[in-house]
Amino acid sequence: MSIVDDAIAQDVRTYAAQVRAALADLGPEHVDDLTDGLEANLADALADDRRAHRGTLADEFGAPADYAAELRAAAGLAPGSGGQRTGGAVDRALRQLVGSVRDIEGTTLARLRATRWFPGVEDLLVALRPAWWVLRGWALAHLLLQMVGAEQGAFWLPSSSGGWVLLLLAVVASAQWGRGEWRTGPRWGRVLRFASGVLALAAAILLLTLPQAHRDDVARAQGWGDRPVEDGVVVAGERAFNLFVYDADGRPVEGAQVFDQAGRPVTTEPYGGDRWRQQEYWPDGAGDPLFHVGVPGPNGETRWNVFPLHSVPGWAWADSGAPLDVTDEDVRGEVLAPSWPFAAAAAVVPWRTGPEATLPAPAGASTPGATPSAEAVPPSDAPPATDGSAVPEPEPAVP
Amino acid sequence: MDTTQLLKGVLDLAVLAVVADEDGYGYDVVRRLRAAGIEEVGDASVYGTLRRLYSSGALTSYVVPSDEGPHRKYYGINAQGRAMLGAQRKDWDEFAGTMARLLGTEGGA
Repeated sequence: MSIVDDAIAQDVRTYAAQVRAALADLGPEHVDDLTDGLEANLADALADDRRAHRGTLADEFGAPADYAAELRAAAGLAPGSGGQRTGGAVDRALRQLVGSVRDIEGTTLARLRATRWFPGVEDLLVALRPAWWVLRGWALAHLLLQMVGAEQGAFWLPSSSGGWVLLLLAVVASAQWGRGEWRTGPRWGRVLRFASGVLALAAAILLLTLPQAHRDDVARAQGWGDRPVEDGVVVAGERAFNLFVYDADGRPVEGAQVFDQAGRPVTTEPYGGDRWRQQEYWPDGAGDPLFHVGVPGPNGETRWNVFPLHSVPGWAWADSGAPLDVTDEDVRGEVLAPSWPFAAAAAVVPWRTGPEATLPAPAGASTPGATPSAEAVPPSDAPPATDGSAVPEPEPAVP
Repeated sequence: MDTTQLLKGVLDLAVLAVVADEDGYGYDVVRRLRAAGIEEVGDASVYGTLRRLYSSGALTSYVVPSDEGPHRKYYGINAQGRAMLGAQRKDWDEFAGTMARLLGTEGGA
């Protein structure tokens, strides 16, 4: 580089610095933006042989302040807009980062544009911009509704009219901004661009996660509906808590074992034996709840399909909630008999068409009829209620 | 007539047309405008216009490093810029046609 070149470069730097100083009220970002490459442009102009040169840079380009004013006016920036900004180290670093990202963006875009296929794709994307505006508005409304907790669970569209109004406003705002209907200052422009980026991310996340969340919700809702019905007997829409069996002559039957068509025991206590889940009963005026108790069956098991079920007071349970030992004499001493709904039922005439023919073979292990019933002795020998009343009493009433 | 005033209204169109022809950096655009016969435009007006068109999304920008001297910031037109160019060209054609008819009538009378 010759001495002359050096002198010119120095002049250019000085001139550029003066232009920047004249723009300082715009804030450092705008100054950088407007004067990026200013030195190169000035040097290029000076090096252009076809140009009529006029001596000093001020002669050539006018006073730096005028040059700055022209630059500012052409860029559409009002004098003084943006205000003074101090511009700390973090701020500068951030601006540099943004600048380099923009440069990379620009270079990438230029490379893409050089390809054969990209211009067509770009035109298509530009045509699809309205769809993005709607999506952006939707994402905004979605985030707002979620922030205020107006919607439960995953949703595509709001469920409330307020939500719909918000969605409508958000979409309109997004579209208006997308169409450039809003004139914003540089600072607001930056905020909106940042918000737009956040919303793009949010929209992508929502579009990716909502279908799954929605499926989960639906599955959960179905789960509630499809929950298997627990064991029990339902009469007129209400759970029966106890069953009372009368024979054909209308006499109460103690220790009647009840099975269904498949030989499964029928019980009114699905959680029988579970201290914490088993149904508790509060007879009138009782200070302690009653619990139904099963009867001892073969092999030490407790049978819950032997009716009517008897009861024990809650305090008979050990504090640990361990299953009651129904063979324990102490426990057996506490067992209370239920009140029969009536002392005797009306006699009926049963079918007598050779019961042996309908009974399964005795060899069947699960055949109830063939099971010796000696072990299924009712735990209590309490006699049936003898008040003779035919009015069903709320059970289990304590005598 | 001061063509500087006339130019103010159509500088965007002129700059878009030049960049649409071929990507260019700051002074390159100035030179091509001059070569096309637009002599009165100030350098700074062109640079400011380029920045404004870029900010409004009509142009893209990328940096081409240079071995000697500073890097050059190139501007290229994008789809939005092309749309803008098309619309402004149509406006200009209509306006120029109107003016031509008006002046032709005036001149003929």
